[in-house]
Amino acid sequence: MRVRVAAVALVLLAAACGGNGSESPSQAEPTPLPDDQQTLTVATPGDVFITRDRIFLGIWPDNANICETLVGLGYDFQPTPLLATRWTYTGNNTFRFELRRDVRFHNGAPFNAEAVRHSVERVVEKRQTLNTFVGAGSAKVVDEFTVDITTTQTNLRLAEQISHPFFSIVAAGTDPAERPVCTGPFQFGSYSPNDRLVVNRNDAYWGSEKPRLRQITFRFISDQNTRRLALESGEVDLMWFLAPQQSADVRGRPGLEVAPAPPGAVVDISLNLHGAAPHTLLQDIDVRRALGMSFDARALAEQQWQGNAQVVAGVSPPAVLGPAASLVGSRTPNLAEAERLLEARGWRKGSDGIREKEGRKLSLVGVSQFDFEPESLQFLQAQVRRAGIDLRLERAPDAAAYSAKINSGAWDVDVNYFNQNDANPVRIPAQFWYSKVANARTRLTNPGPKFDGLVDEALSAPDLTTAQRKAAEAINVLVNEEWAAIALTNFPQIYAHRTNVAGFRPHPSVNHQPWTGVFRTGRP
Amino acid sequence: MTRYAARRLISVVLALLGVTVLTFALGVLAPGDPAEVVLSRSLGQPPTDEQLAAMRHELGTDRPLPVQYLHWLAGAVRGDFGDSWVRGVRVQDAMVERIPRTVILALSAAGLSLLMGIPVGVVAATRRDSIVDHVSRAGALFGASLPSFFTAYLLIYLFAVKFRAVPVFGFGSAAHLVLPAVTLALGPAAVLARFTRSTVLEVLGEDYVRTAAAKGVRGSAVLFRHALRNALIPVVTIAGLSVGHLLGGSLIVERVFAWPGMGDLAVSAIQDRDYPLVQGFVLFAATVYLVVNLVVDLSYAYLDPRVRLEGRQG
Repeated sequence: MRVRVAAVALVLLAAACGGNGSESPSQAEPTPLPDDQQTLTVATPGDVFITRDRIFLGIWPDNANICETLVGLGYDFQPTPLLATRWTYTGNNTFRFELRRDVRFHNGAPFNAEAVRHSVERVVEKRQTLNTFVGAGSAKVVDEFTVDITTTQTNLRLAEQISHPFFSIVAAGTDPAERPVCTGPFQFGSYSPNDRLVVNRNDAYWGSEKPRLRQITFRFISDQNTRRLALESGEVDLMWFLAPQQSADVRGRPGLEVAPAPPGAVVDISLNLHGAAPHTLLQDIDVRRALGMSFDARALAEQQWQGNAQVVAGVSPPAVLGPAASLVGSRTPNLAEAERLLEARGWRKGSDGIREKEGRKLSLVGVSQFDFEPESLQFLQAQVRRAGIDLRLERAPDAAAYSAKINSGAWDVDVNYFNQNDANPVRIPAQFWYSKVANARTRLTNPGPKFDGLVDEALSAPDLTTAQRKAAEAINVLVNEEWAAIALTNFPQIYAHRTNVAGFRPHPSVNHQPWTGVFRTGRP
Repeated sequence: MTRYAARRLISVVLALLGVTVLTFALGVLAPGDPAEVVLSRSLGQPPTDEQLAAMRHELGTDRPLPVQYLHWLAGAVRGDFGDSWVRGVRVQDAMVERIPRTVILALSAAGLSLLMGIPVGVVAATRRDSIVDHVSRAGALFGASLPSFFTAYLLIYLFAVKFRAVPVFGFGSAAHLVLPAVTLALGPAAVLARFTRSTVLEVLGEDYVRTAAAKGVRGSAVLFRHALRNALIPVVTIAGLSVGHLLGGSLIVERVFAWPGMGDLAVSAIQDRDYPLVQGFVLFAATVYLVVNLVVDLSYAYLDPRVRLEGRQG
């Protein structure tokens, strides 16, 4: 009897330990291909590196992981130590950065404070400092691994802002426009304009997560359908910016997977609050509220974008606001309340279903960026028409036409999305609605002094937690008190890849997509 | 003949001048500020008013429009087409790199269209009202009606994705040339087929052809030695006009197939409001079109003796 009990116990014990120690097939990492086959071809939406001075070759907006910044951007949009291990605000508009040691550039030169100073000066010289107030001479070497950066005006968000790829650290004495030499997990291989960019593994990379791919080739394919066909044929292994309407079809194809990125840009509808006639309808807050209540963001996300987007409460990705994201109240569609508001303001439905008041129709003119498919715009138009609002959205054919329309002020609503490219929680509200950023857009969209005051407080907050809270409060004023912007969903940024590509995890910020964990497997 | 050629050459120059004025005017009328495009691409955010003013001054777009145009024209006459505003390189450098790729594509498509269109038209004409005639006419109608981007996707899906016979995109080998050239050739081939059929039918009804047949000349000899030469004279005109289609069609085809030629460059330049580059492309396209048609006109004297005789008598 005792022997039987012992035997059963042993069997049970062996089963609990997993028998021969192997994991279940669903948990095991797929077997990687040999190193000489660890190459990846990625289809990107065109050669974005062609600019007047090609200053950001391989760096931005498509990040080939050649270069790195002092401060990184985590998947949660929080700043992370990267080439700087620590940073503190020391007063007098100065941040002190302690640098990582034993890091070398791809050409073997040591990474140190002088390299940081050189890189900051380069950004200043090229006038690409964004709104950091970094100027000539801002960066000063304290010692070999310590650098101070002093802004020309008070800017307590500097540490979060320099996670933007613009502030990549490049080796002195090199020309980034021809051959960027940096510290990243991949190093520059070759570049053929309008054709491809090739990067090779940096075997001496300092990071704990070593790159697994031997080589990545970024192929520039402007046409979205061609990118998808290239993926299906196997000529490329991964593509990005798959149209949401195509995702279900691609998911159904053998050998292909779809990977939507977490929220990194929010689709919002900016309203013209200060326009000249005839674009004055939205100066009435009740009309703005009615418009906002007519939109059903969940339907947009689930029906139009096939579940590839999530409803978002504010104009910034929630993650960048940290725990304070809950301060931005969410909005539920309420068509009945929208109609009640409009009726109370004297807008009566006409025979065509569109509301009228004193001989004027409730017709709004809108513009959208060219990234939005016509079907999505028609979907939005149909939603507000139920409330008796005639919304005519015009999709701009390109970026220049879109900017011209916005600058003209001849619009009531603007359907757009803004990318969160760094860890600064107040970046998007400050850039697109803040009155102190004087441009054609902000003059029309600024929601007033309460919002401005909160943005001021966010910009001058001594710590990130306070900045996040003030940014969230500012966004809440923007969307829930003044109804100056209507947040809908995140903008669906969708990758698709072959099933033999493993380890790919979409970053919410396209500009910070890491490639270190990606590898090829023997899966068909 | 020399006077005729000189007159045609002068008209070509005047036409080019007109084209550049029109292009400049259209560029001015198009919405969008080139300075803003240039700055937005490099700044990553909307530019300030001061930055815009500085860039407009750097690009010269703050000058009066006639001054801008005349400045460009003065440079163009000297062979200097200025700098690409967005790319920061000389316009001619940007174009020189791309022109050969477009020429290869266009010549391949032109050759294919002739090889497809003329034989189909001849066969359709010689087998009038047969099933071959009906099928070829329907095919030609189809080919002329389909938009090139649709044809492109269809061919890619069939031959590149399904059969894996050729690449989907890119350039660099003969295999890469197949689909773009076929796509570009289909439209002109369809037009050539229909036109060839019509002219061959007309010539086959002429007295001298009936006489040749009555004298016992073999059918193939009647066709190839007597009829075709006369039938193909008007076809030469159509082939010359198709150059315009090839250049225009290359914009879409090059974009779909990621073929980095002049057409692809033109699309990017238009989207970027890079007017020096747009002007450069328009000048290139117009020059090619006008020169080809000049050659076509002059070739009539060789092909049609009546033109030579009329010229002498005139």
